[in-house]
Amino acid sequence: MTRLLKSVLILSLLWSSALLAQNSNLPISREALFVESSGPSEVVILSTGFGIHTPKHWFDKPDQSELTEGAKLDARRSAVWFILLGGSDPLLTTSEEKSKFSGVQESFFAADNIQKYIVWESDRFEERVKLDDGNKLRIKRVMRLNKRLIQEDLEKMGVMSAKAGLAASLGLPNIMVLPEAPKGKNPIDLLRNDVTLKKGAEVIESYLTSRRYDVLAPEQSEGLNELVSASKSLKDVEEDATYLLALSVGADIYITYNISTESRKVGSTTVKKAAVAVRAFETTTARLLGTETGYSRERPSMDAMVIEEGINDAIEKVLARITAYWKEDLSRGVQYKVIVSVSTAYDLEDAENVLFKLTDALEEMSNTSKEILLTDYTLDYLIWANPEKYQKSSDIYRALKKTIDRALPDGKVKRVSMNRKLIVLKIDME
Amino acid sequence: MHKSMLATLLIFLLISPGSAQMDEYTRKSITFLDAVILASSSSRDMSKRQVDHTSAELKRMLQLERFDYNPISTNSKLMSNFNHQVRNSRDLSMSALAVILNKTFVAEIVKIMDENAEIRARELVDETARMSFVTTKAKDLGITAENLEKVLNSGYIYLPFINGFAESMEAKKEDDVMKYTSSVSISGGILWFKIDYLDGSTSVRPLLAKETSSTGFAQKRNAREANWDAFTAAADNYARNLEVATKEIEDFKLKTQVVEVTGSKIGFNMGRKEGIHIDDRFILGETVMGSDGQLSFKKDGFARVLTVGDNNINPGAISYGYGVIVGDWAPGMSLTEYPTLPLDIYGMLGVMPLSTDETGVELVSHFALGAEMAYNIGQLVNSSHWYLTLGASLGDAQMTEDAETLYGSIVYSDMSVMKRFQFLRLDAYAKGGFTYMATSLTDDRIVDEEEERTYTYTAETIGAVFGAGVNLTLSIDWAIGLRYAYYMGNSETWTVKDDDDTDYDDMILNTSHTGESIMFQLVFTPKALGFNPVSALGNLSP
Repeated sequence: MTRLLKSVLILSLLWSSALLAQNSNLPISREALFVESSGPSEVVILSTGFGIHTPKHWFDKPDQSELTEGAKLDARRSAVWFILLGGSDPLLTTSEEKSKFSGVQESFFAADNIQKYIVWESDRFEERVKLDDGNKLRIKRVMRLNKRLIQEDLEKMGVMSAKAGLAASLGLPNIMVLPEAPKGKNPIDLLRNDVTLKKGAEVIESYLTSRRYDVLAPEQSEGLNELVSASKSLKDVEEDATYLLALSVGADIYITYNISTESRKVGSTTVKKAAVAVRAFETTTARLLGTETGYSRERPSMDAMVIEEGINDAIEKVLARITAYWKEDLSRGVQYKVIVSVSTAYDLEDAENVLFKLTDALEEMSNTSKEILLTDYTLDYLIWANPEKYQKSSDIYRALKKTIDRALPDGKVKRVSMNRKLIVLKIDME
Repeated sequence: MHKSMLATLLIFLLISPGSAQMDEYTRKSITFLDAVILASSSSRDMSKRQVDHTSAELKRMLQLERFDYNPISTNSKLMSNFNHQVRNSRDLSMSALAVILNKTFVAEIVKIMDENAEIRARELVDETARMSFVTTKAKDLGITAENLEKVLNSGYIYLPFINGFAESMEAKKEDDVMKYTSSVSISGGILWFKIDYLDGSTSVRPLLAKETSSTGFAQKRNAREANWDAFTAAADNYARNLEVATKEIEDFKLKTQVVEVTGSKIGFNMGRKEGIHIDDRFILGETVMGSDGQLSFKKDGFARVLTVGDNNINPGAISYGYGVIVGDWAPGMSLTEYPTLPLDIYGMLGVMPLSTDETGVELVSHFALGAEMAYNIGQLVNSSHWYLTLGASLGDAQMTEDAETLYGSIVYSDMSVMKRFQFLRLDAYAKGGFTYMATSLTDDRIVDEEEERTYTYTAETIGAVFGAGVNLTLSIDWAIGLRYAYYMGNSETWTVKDDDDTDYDDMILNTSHTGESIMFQLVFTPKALGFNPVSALGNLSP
């Protein structure tokens, strides 16, 4: 009798857990594949969905329409899940975001809610297989989703930091886009003279502006030489004109790209394929934030189209990594690169003293700092300043000047170059 | 025991190898060569006119809407070069012919395909590609190199061959008129070759051969006319059999997905462009993964076409079908064409009406066997399940007067229009038409001590027939049912003839063919026929 009761209890538990699992709005398959980025706000996903039969009584047989509708809904949920949490570049990257999302995920994955993100879904299935003696149906379906709308909704729900919030506290990252330039070549000249490269820049800039990033156009390179000569540390990289340009215009991030197209004949038709490598760098350190190569399909189309298709394939993933980097950097404060060169009129001991005082001052005014280079007469530092205290680079400059003036009565701080990212100073003996 | 055997048989029939990837038909580029390979000594006896007719009829029947055609001029140098090489070749095997095709035609065919490649590739741009950035934003056609390669790899060549030909002629004088009865038999088929394109190089490889045979009959007053009519009946039926055989080739079968299911009604994305016809049969099914992880295709009933969408005008037009054997259907399931001839053959067993109101005379028929052919004219009238039927029933006849009984037979032959109403496996029909009714009795009499004569009494009339019936569909090509028919026709006179065809004065006796007929019937839908009964019927009336 006890055994019978135990069996009934176990069965009831299994039954109710199965019912609960079925009633959950969370996706079952969580399998999806990125197909293409069909524009700045939409992505095409090949998603897998499972339809599972949950018997309501012992003799309840699987119903095809129930399985199919269930599988279609699960495919939609899995596609949205993939954008949020799946793949290499999900929208939700930080543990805080994931934790906030777990509180709202049931309502977020409700059928009515996710339907608004589906812009289009294919009538046909890429795959349809019955499993588990007909109790389970697996389908694969292509759908187009509005990724921007998902992001906006998550921002409204407070799961993600809204771009507006970022702008208020830190400012949106300023991004500069330039083609990769061979040694000795000026990327601006390349941009002016090569239609293909110009098209590449336009497509990337279109993506960036539609995502409300500030795009800096490096139309002139005057002042670069001045910048280089101001800092010994920059001399090592003086051949990297793109890096210097980004520094000179004060970009937070710069994106470089290269484009190669290949063509061949299919019958008498020429088909072209473009491969586009896109790389994003942190300007202050030239640290690589993300790199991705995108490919177009082989098409009998004009160059511009296969290039745009190739860029679409790559840029989405690179931007996701930029966003992830930016969120992380935001938590540390506003980043500045500070380069100070001390006049050689000081002897070594005095110069060292000056530099020590400077590093102390920098440590004091920053949330976090990082020493890049320290020579006898030069200092190259990264600082993350509190944006509430130091809203712009001139605030940093003013504070530094005050500290140096106090510590070195015979020294005079001269501003060589300054923009929203870079502060280059020189200390001369009076 | 029977149940388990049946279950095993059903499982065997229902499950066949498959893959999870959804299979869709893509258009093929077909090249027809105006050449018929005469592969036997008997076939070389055919006249040029006969060979040309066979070739033209095949060309006509195989002009399927699902294909694109690459025209090769009959009088071109290539064609004469090909014919020359075939004539001089001792080896007419498929591989030997493929070598000749490689040498002669392939470059030209690929050139034609190449000229049309972009237009044909547009057909291959699927719904997903049409929604991609290249078509929506860049306003491009969305064609990829893959589509173009698919077009260049969709080339097929077919070559008809005849490996058997026989004709016979019989002359007989009837009523002082000479009548010639001719019979012609053709056997042969089509050789199919596939053109492969890879990185700019092309080659032809043998694919398969489809064979059939056909016979034609004709009886005419002119021997030449009889022979030609018998030949054309055989050749036309031969070509029609090969049309179905071509549709049966796996590469050419129409396949798509079900996009809508409402009860037993389905919708799918194919239509006039692919040459779908009203009442065409399609098998539904789905891919199933077994516990061992193996994929198989499980059939789940069949549907017939109700309305055909015009996707020449509107590419998104949907055709609809009605389920006959209806499984558990849902959108996304596979739909595969099941090609058959557009006709049903009925085999019947039952009773036919026969009586007389003459006092003291009993005229009856006890049983009858019948056959009927129902030609589907649904496409013609643009409505499902309309048929033109031609049928004949043969039965016994018995007349008893006093103690004397004469035996004979009855023949009922009718032409009707029939409308069927399908409800899942069950269908009911009503029909009406004209009928020829004849009763024939024989009387063996001893004229004198040494002579016995057989007298034949025949009563004939033309009347009307109305009927109805019900059928139960057993499988995609078999059904059983019951029919009821009411015949109307009376005759007052009987012709009398003896063994020597000597006519005697007519016998006056009322014969009533009016009455009811009830028959059990078995319905079969064939993929090929040995001869065409309609043309045979036409050709046998001089």
